[in-house]
Amino acid sequence: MNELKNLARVHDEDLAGQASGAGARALLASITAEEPAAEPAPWFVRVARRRPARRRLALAAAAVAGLVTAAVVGPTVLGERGPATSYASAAIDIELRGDTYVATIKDPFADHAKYTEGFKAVGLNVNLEVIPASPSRVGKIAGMSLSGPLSGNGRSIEAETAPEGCAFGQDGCAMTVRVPHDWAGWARIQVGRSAKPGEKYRNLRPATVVGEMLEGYRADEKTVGEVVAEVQRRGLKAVFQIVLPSPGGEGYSLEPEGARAAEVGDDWIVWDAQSSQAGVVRLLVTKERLPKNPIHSGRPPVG
Amino acid sequence: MDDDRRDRFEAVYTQTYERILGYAMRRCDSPEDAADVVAETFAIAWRRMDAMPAGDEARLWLYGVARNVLANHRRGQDRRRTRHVALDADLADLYARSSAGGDELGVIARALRELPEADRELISLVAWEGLDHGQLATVLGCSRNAVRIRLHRARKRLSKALAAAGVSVGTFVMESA
Repeated sequence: MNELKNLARVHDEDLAGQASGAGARALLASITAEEPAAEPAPWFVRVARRRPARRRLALAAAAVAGLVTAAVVGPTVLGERGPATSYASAAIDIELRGDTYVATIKDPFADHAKYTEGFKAVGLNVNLEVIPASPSRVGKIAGMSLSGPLSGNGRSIEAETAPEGCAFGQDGCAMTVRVPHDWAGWARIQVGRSAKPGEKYRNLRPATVVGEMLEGYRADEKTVGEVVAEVQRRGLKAVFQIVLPSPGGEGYSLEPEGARAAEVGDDWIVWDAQSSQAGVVRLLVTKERLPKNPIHSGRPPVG
Repeated sequence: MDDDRRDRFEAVYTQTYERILGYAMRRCDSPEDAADVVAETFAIAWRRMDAMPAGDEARLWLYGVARNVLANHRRGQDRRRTRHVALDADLADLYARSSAGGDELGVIARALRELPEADRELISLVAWEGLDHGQLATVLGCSRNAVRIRLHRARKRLSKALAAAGVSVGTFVMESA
């Protein structure tokens, strides 16, 4: 230790476990919700300039909108000039109520470009995606990224199901997304719907947190034999994903889910249990016991 | 193939998040700015994944990205554009719990702050991120030899500033790992 080191507001060691915290997971979800555009420009050149990126996004959205316009069933565009104040299609209805646009997602299985098109019609740059999510994220915002000045009323984007608490993705359950009418920035939002039978969840969620399949159980650092017994006791199935720790002890990589599953023995070690799909938990395992949890930096999973 | 890209990104993200968060927190005075830097750095990494090297090199590469993000952030009026509600909450909490060093460090902090930006960043990368000459060369995109010379000069300027402020320079350990 020396004086310069002590000047640091925080040391990396103090941040152990942050990567599995709510903020880190939400950020990850919102970043990976964006379709990665090919960016051939040298990466070091003005990496943080937002304006060109936004223009590119808008152009991409416009191109997509052009392709799908014909497929939208009778969009009702009111208003003579500028953006419309309401929009209706088979996928989404949007109307202005007071100072807020209220978007009602009618078809959670629509191509997400159709939602974007709706928001665009009322002058909002909102990219909305509906993803199959594990139970505790159904009907909720699973990821969000906002950019731009705050709206005049200080509110951000909010979402809720109607009726409240219903399982979005099932009949009779709609989801509304509320956006301040003077929102001038752009946003990416992922909302969770219930998965179809056999469909894998797109969100990443520990299976051991409230509302998930292994609620109340601690799987980390137990043997595969122990955890699989608990999984079966609950009438669930386990799939394995092998964790490959980096040689230096810093970080890890992952085999694809299910790869080399035959090698996994009862004495292997489980580091995390995640919700994979209905009735199936994904166990992240290593052959050897490691000094600290590679997935959660030595801390138990939190959710 | 898209899922594969996501999986690879998530692996890197999970193993470097705390490092980049630390980097940003040590250099930003407000949780909002640190949140912006972290979010923007990883958003760029996602878009530029083809350019991201594997293994520990990814961490160094991300420091380089974060450094550019921070520089643009300080330079422009673009700050406080991106808002991530959960991330903001985590950062506010971390800032509330962290202390920015005691009073006895005030003189040293001031001396460091008043160094030219390039000197300060070089010394910080050694003292805070624990980088050695080879790693510094990777982050800064220059040769090891250039690093050695620049670091030597930066340390000299810091020592001089400290001596002027009445701090005994002999007590300083500024060697890299």
